[in-house]
Amino acid sequence: VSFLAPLYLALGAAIAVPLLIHLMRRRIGVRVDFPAARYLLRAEKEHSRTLRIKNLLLMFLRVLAILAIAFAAARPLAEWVGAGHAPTAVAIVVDNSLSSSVVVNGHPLLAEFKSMMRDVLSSATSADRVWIVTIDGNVRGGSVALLRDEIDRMEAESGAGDPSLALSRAAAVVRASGLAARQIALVTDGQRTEWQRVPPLADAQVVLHVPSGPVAVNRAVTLAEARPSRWTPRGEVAARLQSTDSTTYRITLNGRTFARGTAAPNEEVTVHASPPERGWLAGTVELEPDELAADNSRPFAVWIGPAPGVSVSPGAGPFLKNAIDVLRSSSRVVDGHDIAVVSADEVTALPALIVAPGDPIHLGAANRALERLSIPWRFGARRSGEATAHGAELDGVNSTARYDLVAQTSAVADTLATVGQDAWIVAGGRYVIVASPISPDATNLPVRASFVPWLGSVLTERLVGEPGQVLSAEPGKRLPRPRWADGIETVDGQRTSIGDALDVPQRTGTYFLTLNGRRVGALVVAPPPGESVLDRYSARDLAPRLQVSRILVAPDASAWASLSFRAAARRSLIEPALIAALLLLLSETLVIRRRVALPQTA
Amino acid sequence: VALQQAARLIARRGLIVLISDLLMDVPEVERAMRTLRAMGHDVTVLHILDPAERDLPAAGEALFVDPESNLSVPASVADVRAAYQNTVVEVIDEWRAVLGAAGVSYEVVSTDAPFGVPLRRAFAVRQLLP
Repeated sequence: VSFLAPLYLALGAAIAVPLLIHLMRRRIGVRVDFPAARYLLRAEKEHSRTLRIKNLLLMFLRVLAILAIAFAAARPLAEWVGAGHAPTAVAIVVDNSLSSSVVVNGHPLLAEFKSMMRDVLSSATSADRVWIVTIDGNVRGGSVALLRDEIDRMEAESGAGDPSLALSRAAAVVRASGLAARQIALVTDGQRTEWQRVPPLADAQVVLHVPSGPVAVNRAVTLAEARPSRWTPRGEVAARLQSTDSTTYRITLNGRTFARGTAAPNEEVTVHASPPERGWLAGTVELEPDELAADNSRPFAVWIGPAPGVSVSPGAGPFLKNAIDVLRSSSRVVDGHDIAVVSADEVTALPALIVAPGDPIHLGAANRALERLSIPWRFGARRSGEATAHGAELDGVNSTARYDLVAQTSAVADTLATVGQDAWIVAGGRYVIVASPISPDATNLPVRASFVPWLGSVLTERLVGEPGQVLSAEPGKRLPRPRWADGIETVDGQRTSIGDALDVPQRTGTYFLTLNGRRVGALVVAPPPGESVLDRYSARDLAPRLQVSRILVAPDASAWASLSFRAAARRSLIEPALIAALLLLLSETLVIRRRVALPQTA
Repeated sequence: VALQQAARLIARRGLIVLISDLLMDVPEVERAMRTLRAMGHDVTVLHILDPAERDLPAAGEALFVDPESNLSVPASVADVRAAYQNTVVEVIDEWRAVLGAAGVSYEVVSTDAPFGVPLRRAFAVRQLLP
C-alpha cells in the first residue's frame, strides 16, 4: 500500500478523542439530581461486565472508524489481489544528459539506467504499450525488440537536454494511447542544475528513481573562448576550469598544442597568442580525464589573419585619421586597402567604415554612393540636439548632430548603437555606417577614451575577413539561420546545407559555417556549464518539484522496474476505506441502541 | 417509622394506603408491612414512578446524584439505559414479590399516566381478597 497524501495519515491521531472519552468518562462535570441513583448504581453493578465490554466495543469501533477515515484521506493505493497488471501505457523517460556518462563503480551511470530500462521492458506484456523518451525529448515507440535495440544504441547526450520537453512528450504519448492505465517511468541522476524549472503536468503519473550514493568530484572546462573572435593575428584564449584543487590544462589550436599550464580551483585563465595559422580554426581547452570525461574538453573557434590594411579618406576627418595612426602604431592595422574608412560621399568599395558627411551639401552624393554599393541604407533628415547613445560599448557618448538612417526595403542589418529611438550606428555584411560625422561638432565620440578601442574592434573584428562570426549553442538546440552562411561543415569535414533554421548538432565540437563553400564563421557546440555541476536532488527532494498528479518514489532499481507497470494498474482504496468507516459507524450506532443481553426477569 | 406511627394511630383494623417512590430498603418496608398485616390492617402500596426514573433522563454523560442520600453515580445514559431499564423491571418485580408474600396489594403508578386507573385496579383487587 502506498499513499498519495501521506500527511493525512496524521488524522489518525484523532483516535485520541474516543480514547480520552473512554478514559475520562468517570470525570464528568455535568451533575443531574436523580433520586433513583440507587437503581443506576445497581444496574452498573449487576451489568458491569456487560457494560465494560460494550464500552470497549464502542471505543474500538470509534477508533477503527477514525483510522479508516484517516486512511481514506491519505488516498491509499494498492494492488488488488491477483497476478500480472492491467494493460498499461508506459513512457520511460531516461535522463541520458551529459552527466549520465559519469563513471560510477567502474561503469557509466547510463549503463545502469539502460539495465533498468531493459528490466522494465521484460515486464511488458503484449497488451502494454511502451515508449522510450530521451532527455532531449525524442520519443521512440514500437515493439519490445525494437526498443531493446534503441536502448543498446543509446548514448549520453552532449548537453543537458530538455527535461520539461521530455516529460511533456511522455505525458502526451501515454495520454494518446487510449489505455486507462498510464504511467511515466522516470530515471534520472537528479542533477540540480538540470531540474530547476519543470512545468506542471496535471494528468501525469510518474514513478521516479534517483540513484543514491556519493556524487563524483568533477573537474571540467566551463569556459573556452577566443577573445576577440578574430585575431589579427594576436588574441587570447580565456578558459575557466571547475575543480576542487589545482589542475593542469592544455590548449590546442587546429590540433596543435600551443599552451599548457596549471590553474587554481575555479580560476579563469587567459593565454595570449599570436599563432602562425590563418583562417577559421578550431581549438580546445582540455583537462586530464576524470569520472566525467565529456566535460574535460571544451571547444572554441577563432578567425586568424594578418592585420588589415586600412586607408582613410580626407573627408573622414582628422580624428579618424589620428585614431587609425594609433592602431597602426600598435600593429593592429597596417597601411593598405583592405578596409576603407571614408565619408559616405567618398565610398567606392567595401568593406568600409562609412561616416556621415560633414557638410550637408554632400548628402546627395553620399546616398548615391550607398546606392551604387547596394547598401540598403540612406541618410535622411538632419537632426540637431544633444542626445545620448546606447549600445556598442558606447554608452555615455553624446550626439549633437546626426542624420536619420533610413532603411531601404531590403535592409537587413545589425543596429549597433541608437540615439533615442533612432539607429545611430548600423552594420551589414561588409560595412558599418555611423549617422554622424566623426567630429566634436557632431558627437563627443572622437574625444572619448572608448573611441580608439571601438574603432579597433570595428576594423579588426567586424570588417576584416569574411562577414561571419562565431555562434555558440548547446547541443540539439535550434538557431535562426545566419544570413551570412548557407552551409555547415561537420567535424569530419562533411558539408551540408542549412535550411530555414540551423539545427545545432548533438555532438560537442566546432562546426564551420560556410558560404558558397568558403568558411565564413563557426558554430561552437558545448554543454552548458551547469551540466558539469553534479550535485543531485534526492528522490524525495526531486519528487515535489515534478508537479504531476501522482508520483511514486521507487527506492531502488528493481522497485522502479516493478512499479513502472504495476503503479498505474493499482487501485485506489479510498472507496473501500470510506465504506469500512461507514459500516463501523453504523455498527457503533447499533451497539449503542441495542439492549445488551440481560437476564430476563420473571 | 411513618408506617409504625400510622399503625399506632389506627386503633381498629382498617385500610392503609402507602403512596411512595419506594426508594428505600426492601427489608425495612417488608418488616413494616408484615407488622401492619399482623395488626389486621389491609395494606395497599402505590409505587410512584416518574418516566425519568423508569427510563433515565436524556442527560448524555453525567453525574447522577441522589439529593437525599448524596449517592452519586457517573454514567453515560446511552451506554447504561438498557441495563438500567432492566434493573427497574427487576426492582418492581422484587417489590411485587415481597409485598405479595406479605399480603399487601401493590400497584405501580406512573406519573405520566392517569392516576385513577391503577388506583381502581388496586382496590378492585382488594375487593377480591378474603
